[in-house]
Amino acid sequence: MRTLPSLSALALLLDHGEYTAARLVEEIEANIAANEPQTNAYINLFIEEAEAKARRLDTEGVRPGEDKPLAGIPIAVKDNICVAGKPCTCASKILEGFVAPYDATVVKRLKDAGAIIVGKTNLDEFAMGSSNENSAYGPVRNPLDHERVAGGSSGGSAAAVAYGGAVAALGSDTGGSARQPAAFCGLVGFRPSYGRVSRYGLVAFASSLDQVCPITRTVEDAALVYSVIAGPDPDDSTTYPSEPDEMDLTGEIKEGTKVGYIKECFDDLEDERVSDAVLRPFKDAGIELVEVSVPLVKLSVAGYQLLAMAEASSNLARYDGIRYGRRIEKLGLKETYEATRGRGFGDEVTRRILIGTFGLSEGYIDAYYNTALRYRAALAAEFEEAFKKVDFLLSPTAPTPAFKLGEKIADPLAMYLSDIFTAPAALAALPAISIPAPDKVDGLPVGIQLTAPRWQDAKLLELAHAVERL
Amino acid sequence: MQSKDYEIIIGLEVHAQLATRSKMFCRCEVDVDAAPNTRVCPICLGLPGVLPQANDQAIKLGIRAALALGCTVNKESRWARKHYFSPDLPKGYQITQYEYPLAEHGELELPGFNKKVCIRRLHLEEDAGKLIHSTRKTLVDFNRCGVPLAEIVSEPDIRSVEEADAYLKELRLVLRALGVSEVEMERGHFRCEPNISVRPKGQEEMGARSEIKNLNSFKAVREGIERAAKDQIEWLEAGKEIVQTTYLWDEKLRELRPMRAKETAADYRYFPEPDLPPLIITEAEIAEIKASLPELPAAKRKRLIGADFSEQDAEVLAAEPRWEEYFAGLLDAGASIKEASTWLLNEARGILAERKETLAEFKVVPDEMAALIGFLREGKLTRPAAKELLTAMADKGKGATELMEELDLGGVSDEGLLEKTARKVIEENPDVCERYHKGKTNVIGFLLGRCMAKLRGKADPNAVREMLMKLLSEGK
Amino acid sequence: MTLGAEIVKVADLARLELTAQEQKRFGAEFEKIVAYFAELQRLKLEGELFLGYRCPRIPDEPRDYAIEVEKLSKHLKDGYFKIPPLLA
Repeated sequence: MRTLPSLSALALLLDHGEYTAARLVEEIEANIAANEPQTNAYINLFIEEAEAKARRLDTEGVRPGEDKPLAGIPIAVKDNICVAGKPCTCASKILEGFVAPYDATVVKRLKDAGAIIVGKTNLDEFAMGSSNENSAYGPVRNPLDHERVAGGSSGGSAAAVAYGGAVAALGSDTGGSARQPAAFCGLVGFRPSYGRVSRYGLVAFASSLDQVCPITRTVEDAALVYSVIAGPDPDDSTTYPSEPDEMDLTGEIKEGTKVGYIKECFDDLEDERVSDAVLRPFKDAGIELVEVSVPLVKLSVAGYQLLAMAEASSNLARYDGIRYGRRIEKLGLKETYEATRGRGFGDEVTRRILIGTFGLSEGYIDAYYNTALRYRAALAAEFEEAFKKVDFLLSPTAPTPAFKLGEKIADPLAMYLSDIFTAPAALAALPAISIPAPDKVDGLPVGIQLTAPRWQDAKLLELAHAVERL
Repeated sequence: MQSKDYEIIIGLEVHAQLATRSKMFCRCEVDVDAAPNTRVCPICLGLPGVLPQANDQAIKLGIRAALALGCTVNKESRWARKHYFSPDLPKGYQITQYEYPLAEHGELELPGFNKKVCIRRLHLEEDAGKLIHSTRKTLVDFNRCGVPLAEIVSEPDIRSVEEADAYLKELRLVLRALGVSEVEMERGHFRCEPNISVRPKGQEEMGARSEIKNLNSFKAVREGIERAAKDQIEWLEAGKEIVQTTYLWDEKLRELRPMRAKETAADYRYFPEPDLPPLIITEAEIAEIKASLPELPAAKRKRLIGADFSEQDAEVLAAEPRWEEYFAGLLDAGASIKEASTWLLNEARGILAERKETLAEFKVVPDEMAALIGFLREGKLTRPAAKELLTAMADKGKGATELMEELDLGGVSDEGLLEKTARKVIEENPDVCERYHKGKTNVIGFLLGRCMAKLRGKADPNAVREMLMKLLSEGK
Repeated sequence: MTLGAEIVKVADLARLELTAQEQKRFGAEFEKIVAYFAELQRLKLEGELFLGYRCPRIPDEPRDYAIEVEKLSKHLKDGYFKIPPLLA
């Protein structure tokens, strides 16, 4: 599988005129032709438009620079992020026929930076899943091993970047949906602090957990995409009103930096090789790791799913076929609602809406939804305590490398447990990044996850960049 | 209606549409009369991926209303989602306020009842779209969807239909005086949902409630409450148990139609709105808005009555900004309070009442009425002539001076003419003058009459009398 | 009442049509997953996480989004969205 250079490398090549945007799109096209049939990373491709934009940029001599840092760079966008004039399916039948009439803020920023949107990538329906097997458009297969999943829910975005069908991609992360696929495909997945990146135009799954994330080959790439998309947005009232901090990717770990490893993430790991792969780079570099305990991490899947399902049941109440999307019309109104939604949503989405509705309903809300909120607060407090001892936290991104297609799909709980190490950062609103470990397990990539205190995105990227080079 | 054995307990929930230019959570223009679905956007249509943005003016108007109603404005209030499925509710939930409303614990004085009704809370929320039903289908227009509303809930302190009526009218007056809402009930700016329960007098325990929806006029509100109370009393007398029920008022048949239990047993699954952080209101903002509050109707009435206006006049002026403005215009143009009161609240109001016209349609502007008053004051007009002039001005819309000349209503104040006329009359009536000189001073009335006839009644009788006396005393 | 039986009520609340088979299947999963959450309840935790700052406010200035509803749905009549009536 021919892959592409990193975004940063390509940006340099384009800037120096050693490469053209049109040629880059050609290469992307070739990779797509070679890999799409098996991988199924894309739901919709915009090749002709990509070619046209590339030609135009070349003709006008627009190159990546301060004004347009991503000029000519082909980027894939997860199909739960709106691109104006294009279908936005969220991999669901219920949105068949829906064409987004507006650009998500992150897409606008990418376009303003000169990026070329290659297409919309496959995902677990409405971003609910950890394997990208829950798509109405078929599962995504891992480009590194077609028998295995690419991860979820941003499986398509990760697969596309992994096989060179895009230079970088936007995914979304609610409980690990960008970090875990990045880990499974040997890429970098960066989840910013909640509130750093606008969610306007990201189809909501769990409003207090969703974030748009860059999925890239290197940390430098992720930092560049992040710097383009991050920042306050009046269209999203939950964005932080200040601009993100400046980054300085020196590649060196600052003197006195303390990294702690989360005990609970290593204790019960089934496969010790995963643990070894994550710890080795630090051991070899002689970096001392402090043991830190965050006991509530063990319940993160319960807390996360409960909260996310409740919010999801609310956010998906708007899908009724009345104003857009697919409507299954019956004689009566209520029957129309029930048929449209019952048959429009896949199994996993239906499952979550049912449980989420239950968790919010009268008589149960305190035992369920409110309990999840309290759990979240308690977990965040534990992280705060941990960050008094160390500057960053270390854990594997996922308990295992990419599993086989069909392996977990029959057991929802087993599937949910893939999120056990990624869900905590999302719940505590912390920034977290997954970078590929140098070692593989059974030839498959393993993700190293680093977490920082909220708002320390710049510092986290600086550290990750340094660790990448270990 | 009052039953001697039973007490009627009424609470009122009012939804007032706030007078903003754009919607509560998006920047669509508020214009419910526009062609269907032309004042819509991704946000108020509930498209995938959209997020709400809070309208600053709606919040300020809410605070304004809350302060005028004597409420405590909460420095931190929160938005909540209220879930139910309805085609006029795009997101499948309404953004409202639940546990932490904008304001609480206010009161409203009922004029004429010497009573204050407590206001439990005031909060902000968004409106739903409009449904048009027919037998085979329903049509939906989302122009109204997302329009800002203030929900004002009273305590069940109201004890009669008359009190309910007074509460609604006074609330409407306050909101209009503040400029918070246009409060036209027929246009849906001001919706009322009463809840009524009945209990035997002396009983402390409250009975089950009847809630009524779809009341679109003051008359309907009165009828609906009366009906519900009557029904409850009948059931109590018959020993039946009353179950809490929600009714829809049927405009055409003028009756209460119970809604099915399934329709109303809603589990709204309220939870805090994750897309909007808590609403923080500072002391400074509250102070600023408080300082900008106009004089409220209740205070205005008190002040006017204190300034010797009759209760009736005070009510008119306090209730109608237009009348108050006009009145102020008269004062500005030089009329005294008494003069303005007489000519506006008495004469003009009489003319308008006769013609069934409103002040807005009155063709006389304050400056012209003030001119008329001035002429009268200066003696250029007699009182009857002035009344005639006012009527003519109301008819023709012309100015006081113009019409006065045209209709020759002007009084004679020219001294020369008066003297000339008086002399003439004295000349023409020597024997009457002789009788005057001989001591019969009351014959001056006859001479006065002769003069007035010559002057065609257009002089001030007192001035004429004085002139006659002057001339007669000169021996001429 | 078992949680599995609640599923009918919840499906109604959520306006989701389920076949009898789906009811059974989802019902079983439902019970298992909800039982998994019980662990959280046992802990009796406290606290509230404050994620946001203060609600930003936008000036009251109307703008025209120029949305074409015809592009969103084909169920339109004279500019209105058309839907089936609420059956008795």
